[in-house]
Amino acid sequence: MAGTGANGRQLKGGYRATGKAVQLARLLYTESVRLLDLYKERESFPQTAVSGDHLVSVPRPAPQLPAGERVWLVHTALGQCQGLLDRAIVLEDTELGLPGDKENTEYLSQRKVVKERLGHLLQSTKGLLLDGGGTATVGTGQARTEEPDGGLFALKVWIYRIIQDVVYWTNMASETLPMAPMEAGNETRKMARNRRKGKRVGRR
Amino acid sequence: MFSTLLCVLCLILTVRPSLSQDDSPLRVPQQISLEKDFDAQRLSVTWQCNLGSVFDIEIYRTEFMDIVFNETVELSGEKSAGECHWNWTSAVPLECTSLSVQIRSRDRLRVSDWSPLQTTEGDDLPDNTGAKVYPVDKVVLAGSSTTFCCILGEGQVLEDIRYMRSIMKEVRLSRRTYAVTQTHQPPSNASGTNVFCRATDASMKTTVQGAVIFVGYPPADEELLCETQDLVSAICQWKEGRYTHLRGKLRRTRYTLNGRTCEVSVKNGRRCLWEQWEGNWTLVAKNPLGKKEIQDSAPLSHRVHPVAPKDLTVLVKNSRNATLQWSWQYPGYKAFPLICQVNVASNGVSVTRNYSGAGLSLVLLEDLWPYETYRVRVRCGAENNFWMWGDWSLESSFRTKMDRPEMPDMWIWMESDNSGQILWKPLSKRESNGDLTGYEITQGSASGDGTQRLDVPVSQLSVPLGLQGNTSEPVVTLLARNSEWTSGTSQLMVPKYWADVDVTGSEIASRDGGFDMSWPASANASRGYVVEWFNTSCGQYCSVDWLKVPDANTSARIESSGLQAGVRYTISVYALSDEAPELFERRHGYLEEMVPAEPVPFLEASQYESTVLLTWQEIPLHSQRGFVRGYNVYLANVTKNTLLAKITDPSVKNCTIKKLDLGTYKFTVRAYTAAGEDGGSTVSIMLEPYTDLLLFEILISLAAMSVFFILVTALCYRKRQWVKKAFYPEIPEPKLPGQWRTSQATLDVKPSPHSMVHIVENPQWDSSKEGLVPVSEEDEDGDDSGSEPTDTDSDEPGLLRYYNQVVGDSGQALRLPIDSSSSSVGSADTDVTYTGIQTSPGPLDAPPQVEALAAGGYRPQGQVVQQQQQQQQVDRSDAEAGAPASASFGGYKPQCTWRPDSPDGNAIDGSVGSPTSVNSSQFLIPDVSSEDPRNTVSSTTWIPSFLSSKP
Repeated sequence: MAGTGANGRQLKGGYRATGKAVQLARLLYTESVRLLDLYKERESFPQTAVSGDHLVSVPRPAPQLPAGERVWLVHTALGQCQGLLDRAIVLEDTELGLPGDKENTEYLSQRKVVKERLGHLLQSTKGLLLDGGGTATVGTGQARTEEPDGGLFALKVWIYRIIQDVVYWTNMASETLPMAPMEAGNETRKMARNRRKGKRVGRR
Repeated sequence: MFSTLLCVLCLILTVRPSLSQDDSPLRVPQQISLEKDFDAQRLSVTWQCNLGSVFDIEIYRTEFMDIVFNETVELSGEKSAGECHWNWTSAVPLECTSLSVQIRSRDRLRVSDWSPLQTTEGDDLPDNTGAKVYPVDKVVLAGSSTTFCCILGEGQVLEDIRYMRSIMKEVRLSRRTYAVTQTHQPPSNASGTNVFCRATDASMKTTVQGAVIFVGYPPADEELLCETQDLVSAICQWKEGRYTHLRGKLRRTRYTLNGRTCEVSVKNGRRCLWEQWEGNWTLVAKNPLGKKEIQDSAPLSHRVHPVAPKDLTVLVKNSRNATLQWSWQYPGYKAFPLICQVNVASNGVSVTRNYSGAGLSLVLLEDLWPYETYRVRVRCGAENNFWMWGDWSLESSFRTKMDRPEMPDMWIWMESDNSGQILWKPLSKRESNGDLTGYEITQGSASGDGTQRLDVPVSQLSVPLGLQGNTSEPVVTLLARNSEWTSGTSQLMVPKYWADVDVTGSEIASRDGGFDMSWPASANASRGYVVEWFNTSCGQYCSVDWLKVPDANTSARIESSGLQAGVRYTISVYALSDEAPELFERRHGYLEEMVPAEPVPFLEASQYESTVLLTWQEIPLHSQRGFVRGYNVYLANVTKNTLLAKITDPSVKNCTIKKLDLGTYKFTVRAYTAAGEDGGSTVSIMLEPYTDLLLFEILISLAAMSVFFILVTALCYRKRQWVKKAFYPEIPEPKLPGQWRTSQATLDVKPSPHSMVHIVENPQWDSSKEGLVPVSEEDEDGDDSGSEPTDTDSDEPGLLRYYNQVVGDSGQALRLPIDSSSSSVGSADTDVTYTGIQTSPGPLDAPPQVEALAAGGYRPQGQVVQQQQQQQQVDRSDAEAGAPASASFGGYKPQCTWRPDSPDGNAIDGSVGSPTSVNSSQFLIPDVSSEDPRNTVSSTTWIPSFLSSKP
């Protein structure tokens, strides 16, 4: 099955591949929520701690967009999440130097799980796109990757927002991906009909 | 005088300048400048000061002009080139708000004017609209206090300031700045302690600003030790000591060894490498809170920690020896005196041997086991100034060569005179010295005739032995073979068969899970002894075990995992010599005695009159499970068993129980061993009466009865008078009351002899009743001549006897010769006293009636039914006697209700025959329902007749 987005983004892969990506997205969503909880717990962040825009600069996939386009947006956003998370991990280890003690073991383990799972989800969503995601390669998105200035508290807030973005976009993936194959099929059939219609008109 | 003036002048010259100074005003400090050290929260104040060193300094928070410092300071060393310096450390970060400083000079009580305020700006100026929290990323010592300030954004309102989760009480410093202070701070976690400042803006949107503070300790590293492995360079290691709680790029502890940076990684631990041994080492550990120096000093030869030998090679020379060789990584080891440990392990057994030498790299391994796989490894240390053992090398394995197997331990167990088993024990891996391929057995005679050879596979450990009748001194030899070698030959002459019945085997007790067998020394045991044991009841396939004992010993302990409790073992001691083994002693024993596994078989009970004989059989040997010490015989009841007999001789297998009553009995017989009784066999028997006893009892009873009757008869005969008196007393004479005497006297009536009743012989009566006929006393005395009874000798006025019975008789009675006058009869009748006769009221109270009765004749017991007949008789007698008949039954009629069963004369006989006096009321009125009156008479007259009869 293949679908074509309005701007040319096409989907490949069937229900099985999509189902696998959906399962992965749902699992990652749960794990990233857990990571966020662990982070808030460790840093004692208040519930209304952080405000501000998303660091991932990808628009929310609107429902009226073609399925392929929405999958591409999700894929792109997840790519930016991965880039931000990798950078956050490096900075956190460097600036804070978290030891692998009892206090941090679960957080560090969960952080590693989310990081690796996010890579797998990226591969899965890439596999759904006919052109492999185009420019939405890992870590090359237009995320606001400028590192925070103003001390380690700003760094902590920045990491917190990155994890929040991971939660947001994995949730978006788990909601967007299930609908994609069906809608893509409908779009393909519709385009095929339009194409046949156009040919008949041309002959006349 | 001159001198005095000079002194005064000098004094004036001295005092005057000072007086001139006091008069001039102090100079106001000029050119005040302020410098801020934000990290140290220190404010440096510099101003121009030509004279004086004492100043009043005031510091304000600019916005509210709250004074935060107001003191007089005296500068000592801070003054140079007309400039004064003074440092002030603020508790609040300098960024929090603007500060203003003013200074004046002081000279004792004189002071200058204040300098103009010099202000240093904080971050809460209107131009800086953003919200911030200070200090940023500060590192402080655990337990110290820190003041934080929160600068709100323009238009924001503070909600709270929290130190991690704790809400703090804030102090307002300026329009936008609030401060909190945390005292006694605990060490923070690795990512630091967060301080949050929450504020809301006009749109009620909450924003959070914050800062991180790191609370920890200065370094406390210790125990620096440097050593060498390559005999050139140094490796220095130390321990961390107390955890600093400070991590991260800017806060972690940094190390320098002898002034050179030493990078420490988590993977390698705290160690630093140094290319050349220097002898003295100084390690400096430093973090933002402080530093620590530790030293170590030692010559290289004292700190040699050898590396692990490598390239281990083993050259196997033979079955017992091998050569081990290795090489060293560094050339410096070739001449270095070393001591090495070689660890040789095989089958879980590890042995370490030490070797030493300069540049040691070759050792000889001796006393190894043949055909054994070994694992070997090596480590070394400095032979001189030993510091520590180096690391173990990698393991190397090798196998030694094969050797000759050990001689098999052989024994011959005879099952009968001509057959037995050749047995031998398997060779262990150590004894085999290689892979065993089989055994070779030869059987023949001592002279070498008729030798037979047999190859047996390794898995077989016995072969049957059959002796021919003509074989003299049969001999068996055995040897073992492995793939390369043959063992020595084990030779044994066939022993004689000894059955258990031929040998008296005593018991042997076990101890601690085995048997301690001992025997007297034998001169024939030149080659020692063999102790053989097997399950006594094993049958055909017996598992025989044996133990060879040197001739110097006369005891052995039999201890084997094969020994079982409750199994009887036959233990035999054979003396070994050049001749055939000779049985020396034989005993039986149990490792642990148990109760018999089954009850005594074939328990039977037999009755012999009142005796029961119990018989049973012996429990089979395999079920005895202990030496049977005897039997207990119980009488089994529903509730309990009663011990009847305890048989302590196990050969006795019967028991007699005597004097048992008739009935059903249950007997239980239980065999017992040292461990206790078995479950018991029970037999039931019902004792029945036996014939002789019955006959005997009958005869005894008959004899007893006969004797009893004889005795009673004799006794009665001898005591007949007493018996007669007791059971048949004399009938008393009726006595007339005193009134009768008077009336009698008045009447003067005396019964005439003719008034006596004369009993005539009645052929219908029993002759025996004649004795009961009332007669006169003269008759009783045997005077039978007078048919006319005389009653004259009696004092009583009227000795009338039983007239009442005569009166009212049937017609037969009327035939009696009653020729006496009716008046006399009537007068006699009135003398009778009836005590038990129911009388109609007032017979005595109505004399007229009595008289009427007398006139009519007294007739007690007259019968109504016979009234007519009697009336007729009376009529007749009246007619004869001329007596008035009209008054016959007009008066007293006692017992008129009595009637005889029959109207014949027998009924009257019964009454007449009754010996009862008229005082008795019992015999006068016979029971209507009684037996035949004839029989009654017979029974009542039997005893008196008997008693009255005289011999």
